[in-house]
Amino acid sequence: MTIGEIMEKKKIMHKLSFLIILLLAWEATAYSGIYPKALFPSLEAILIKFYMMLINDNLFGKALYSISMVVASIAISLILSVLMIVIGNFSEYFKDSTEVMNSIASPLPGIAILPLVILWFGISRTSMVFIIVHATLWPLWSQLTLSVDRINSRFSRFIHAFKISKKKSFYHVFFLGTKPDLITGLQISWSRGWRALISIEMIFGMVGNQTGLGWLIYERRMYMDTAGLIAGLFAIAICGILFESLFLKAKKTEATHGTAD
Amino acid sequence: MGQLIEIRNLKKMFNKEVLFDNFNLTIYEDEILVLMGPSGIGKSTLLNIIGQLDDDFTGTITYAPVLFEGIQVPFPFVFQDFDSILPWKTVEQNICLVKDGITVEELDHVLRMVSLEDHRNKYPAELSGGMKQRVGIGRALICKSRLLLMDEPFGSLDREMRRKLQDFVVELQKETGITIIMVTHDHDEAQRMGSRIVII
Repeated sequence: MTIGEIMEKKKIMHKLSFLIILLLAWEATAYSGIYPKALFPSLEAILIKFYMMLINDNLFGKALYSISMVVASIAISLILSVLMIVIGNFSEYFKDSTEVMNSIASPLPGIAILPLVILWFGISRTSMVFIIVHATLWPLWSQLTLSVDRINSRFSRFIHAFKISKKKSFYHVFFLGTKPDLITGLQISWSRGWRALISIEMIFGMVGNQTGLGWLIYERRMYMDTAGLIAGLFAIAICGILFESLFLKAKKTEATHGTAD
Repeated sequence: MGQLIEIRNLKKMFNKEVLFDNFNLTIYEDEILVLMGPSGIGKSTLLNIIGQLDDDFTGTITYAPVLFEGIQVPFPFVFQDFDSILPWKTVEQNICLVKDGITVEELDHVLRMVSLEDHRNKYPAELSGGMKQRVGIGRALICKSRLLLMDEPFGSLDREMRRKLQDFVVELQKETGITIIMVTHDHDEAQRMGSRIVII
């Protein structure tokens, strides 16, 4: 076993032991009777609820719906970011304007513009997508712009000296060169978009004939179903962890393929 | 030795400062011409002008037609700091990127010339500084041009590695007959390598 593998194993053990301690502490508090069971349900009650929600309440479908909303919005943000960078390459004015727009819009949480968006688009899927795109576009654009600028300053002399064609330099230099930053940008966008979506869902409730995880936990609170609420929170956390680990894996693959220098 | 490039009455301004005024230089076939001078004097600028990366000057530069005949990249550069080696490409992918239609024999030949045949599938992060710079040289050699432009190519290497690569480039030049224009501010390097030294 290499030192790297031993360190990795140690790290996993630390995380697992912390999780076990956390769960034991929860269970001890639940059974201690300090709080009523309706407010602080036991782990088995939560797990049973989680299972029941999977079977009866289409928890999986709701999670998929929420994920699909974020993924679709990030796809729109990615297309917009690339377009903005390409146009910015041709127009200095456009690039400077986008920087101003980024400074204004980036610190605004998605939920802060919700009242305005409701006024403009009503309570609709368009509003949801608008807010998630707002939450995901700016970090993605910032990350990609920085990356493209860095690649450009490092490789432009090489590209010109060796007369590398536009097509070749777009893919082999810019696309492959910005891939690690693209993954980081997508990771930041994902976490910002996911948080924005859950908040909006809690406020919007049902849009069309589908609801997501945000509404699910909000609904559980209204019925005083604390176990169901926590099971919903579990589902949200599991989705978050799944995507985070996907991004981490992608980053690791990039690093082992020599992208990092 | 035939003439390859003739520079006449070159005038170049940079930030309202005159870098070159009425500058003349002839570059011949089969030589290592070393451009020397202190930092900021315009050595790299002159290299960029010769390599057609900078056309903001007055005066005339006449190139021998042989420099362009059947050659895709007439002025390949070897840059300082091997910064332009793509870290996400392997050695052979880096070399193959600069020219279309490279045959396996051509690639093998160049990899042998730069002694990287056993490292062809490695990424730059897995190579030493000297090996990375040899990737840069290999990338320039695959272009099969008559001229090689080197901009302080060994500036970021340690003394021993510098010596090795200096000898390697001199041998390579003798073997191929390629003309090399090299920028350096190191006197020893200039004397060791140059068949002619131009002090700017």
